[in-house]
Amino acid sequence: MGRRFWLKRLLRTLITLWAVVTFTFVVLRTSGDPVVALLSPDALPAEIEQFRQKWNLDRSLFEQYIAYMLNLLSGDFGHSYQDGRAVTAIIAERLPNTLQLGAVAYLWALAIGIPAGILAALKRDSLLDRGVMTFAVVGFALPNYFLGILMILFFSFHLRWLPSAGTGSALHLIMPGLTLGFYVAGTLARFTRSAMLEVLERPYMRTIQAKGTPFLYGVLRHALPNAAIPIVTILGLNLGALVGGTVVVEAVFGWPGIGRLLVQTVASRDLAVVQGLVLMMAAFMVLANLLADLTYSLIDPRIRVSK
Amino acid sequence: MARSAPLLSVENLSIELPGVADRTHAVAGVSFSVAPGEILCIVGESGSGKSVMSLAIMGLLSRGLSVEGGKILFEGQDLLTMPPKARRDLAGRRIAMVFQEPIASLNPFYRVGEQVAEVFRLHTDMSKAEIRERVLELFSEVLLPEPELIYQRYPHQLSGGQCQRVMIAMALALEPAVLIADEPTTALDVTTQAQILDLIRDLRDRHGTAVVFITHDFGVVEEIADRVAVMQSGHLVEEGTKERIMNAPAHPYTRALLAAVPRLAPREVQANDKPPFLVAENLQKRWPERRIPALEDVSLSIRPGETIGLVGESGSGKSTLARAIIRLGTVDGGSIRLNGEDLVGKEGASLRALRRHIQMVFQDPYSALDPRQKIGSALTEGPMACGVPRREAEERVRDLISAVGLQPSALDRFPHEFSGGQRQRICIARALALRPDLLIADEALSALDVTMQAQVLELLGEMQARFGFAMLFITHDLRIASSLCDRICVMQRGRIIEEAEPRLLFAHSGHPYTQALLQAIPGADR
Repeated sequence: MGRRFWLKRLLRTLITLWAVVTFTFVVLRTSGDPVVALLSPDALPAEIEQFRQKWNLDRSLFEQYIAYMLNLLSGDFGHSYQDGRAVTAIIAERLPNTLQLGAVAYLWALAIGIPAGILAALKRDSLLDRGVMTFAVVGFALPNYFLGILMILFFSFHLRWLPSAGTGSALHLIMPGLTLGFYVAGTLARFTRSAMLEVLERPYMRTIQAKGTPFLYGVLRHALPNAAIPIVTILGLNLGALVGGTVVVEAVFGWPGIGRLLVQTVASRDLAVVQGLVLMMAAFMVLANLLADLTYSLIDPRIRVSK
Repeated sequence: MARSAPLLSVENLSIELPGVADRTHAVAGVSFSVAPGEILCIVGESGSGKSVMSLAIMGLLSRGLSVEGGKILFEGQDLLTMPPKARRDLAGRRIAMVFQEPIASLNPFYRVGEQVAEVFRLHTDMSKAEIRERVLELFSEVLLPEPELIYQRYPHQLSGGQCQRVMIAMALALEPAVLIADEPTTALDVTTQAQILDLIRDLRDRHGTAVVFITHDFGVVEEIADRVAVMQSGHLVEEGTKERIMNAPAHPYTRALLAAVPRLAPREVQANDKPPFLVAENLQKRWPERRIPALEDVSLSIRPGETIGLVGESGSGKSTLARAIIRLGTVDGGSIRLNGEDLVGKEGASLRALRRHIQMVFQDPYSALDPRQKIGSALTEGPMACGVPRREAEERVRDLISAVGLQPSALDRFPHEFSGGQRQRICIARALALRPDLLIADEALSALDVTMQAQVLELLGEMQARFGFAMLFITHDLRIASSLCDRICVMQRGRIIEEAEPRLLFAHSGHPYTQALLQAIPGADR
């Protein structure tokens, strides 16, 4: 893959981000008036007028859009309508919490999903395989909020082992982390299983057995690296799903991260903050996919080393 | 010469097939043995059970297959009752195997040198440097050019022949007592095949290895076998010395197999003074970053009803030429005129209209049909895309499907319900459904075993007599080309180096490359 490939990739990334920004901009501004949400119902017409002027809401949509884009290009994401703080500062305050939660979720999904998938493939059609597949189906069929509520009911109200909401200790991370990662773990288990099954059927696995290799050695040294290639792609895609998941999971567990911030600011029509959050999430997803592609091309010799 | 005591003997081996199969046993009560320094060829069509049996010896049976009874004795010990660890220790060290698809049989993830080195790492306590040294020696022994360079290569960077040499080096690494070779040359072209056969014979002579060689080609048997065992539907129907089986086959199945072997028998050329309808002139094509041109100044003309053979090793430019003619690929220079119209500059609808006149049958009938499309739909699709009304297209297809020897009910079935030979018939019917002026057959017989080959070859002749199309027949097998073609073009490194009637070509070929191709034909000395 040469420079041309990466230039094309970069261009596509920029177009994606531009499309996301423009789409949210138009939808947010045509679907409701921030004045109604942010000012009290009995605000005076003068107050309303002043608010509109302050945030340029009195200008045409197109003018607002140009102004926003120009600011964006100079690195200015705007200010919150509510308290006037910079959007970047508000996001920076919440982001570490989400990253912490996301990391826990992702790690447990990896630690459970991949080994479960491998075991299911090796013990194909066994009770273990069926168990893993059931777990996987439940994982991506059960909505996050429902699983979250079930967990709160059981571990917080019934057993009284874990705090139902908030932050502050490692215990607070357990339930939201498990809930958020459950979907990813299920998907990973399923894809790892099918990737492994495919590789195990390949003619080269027969050659490896014919060399007299111990079974586990063949699986770990020969099958797994080949199966890793499709798994990496799924990992990248799931990083995106994880970001989407934070919106719901943070709301259920009262976790002060960017997902909950997004819900709050959408409700209050704090447009600049919503816009900033959406842009950041989109950038994150695009980056995750780019990273997956890069890893993919690095681990597969057929792509890395040309003929 | 009296045979020494057998090293490996299979006694009354039966391997059960899962319930859904069309017969109960893949292998039914088979017994044979092989002595040190002996090459035993096991011959049979695809599905006769020969591969399953060889996998059973290695302990590599796939899921769903199980040994029902019998013994596999190696140096007196029954492999089937041996503990798994002891059996693993024999695999690769004392009994080694070479497979049919050389590139797919190597792990794409690791360099080939490392993959051979692994055998030493697993079975010996040699140092890293010693192992490397030994692998390089092996690579020289199997005549790989520049062993140091090859060591560092990944499988996808090597040719099929080179990968097979690597596989053989791997199999021979620890000088096994028994080498099992499962159709090791079927995927290779004739010249490479001849070299690999030489190599195996030579290794047998030097190391006294016992070889079980599985093949469907009696030409190969002729070249390499000491003894021959013939298998049909899981049964061993005949066994004996090569001379006895080749000269006085007792079983009708053996006789049928022998009769199906293509012979170097040039056919009589039919007089044809019609003007050519397809003229390709000075075609040029280069791949970026390759020194040898894909096509260099290639000119070719084809008359109506004529059959032209295009022969040469893999990589000589045969397929590139065919793809250029049907405009599946582009050329850098030259012209291809079909009935006076140049195909090279054509795009879109005008190209599609011209393409109708040229149709192609591909090498692998398994991947050439959409597994989710019924045969009827696959066959009518082409004519209908060219404006033939549905009713007429369906009628044409019904007629064709019986012409290629299948029941009309085949039209309502899916590709997986057919054998390889049947699928190739379907592919031929699909190509003919457009009533083409030219049929390009790109190695259309290579994926089939000899009996199927003979049948499809006969079918092509019949169809040509009936529909009168011209044929461009691409093959690396001069035997097949000789029996079918009016003219043969020999290609090497992107050029047509010789063009002549088969009889003249074989009798007076002036070109050393053509002579080498003739020499490489298995069983040519007969």
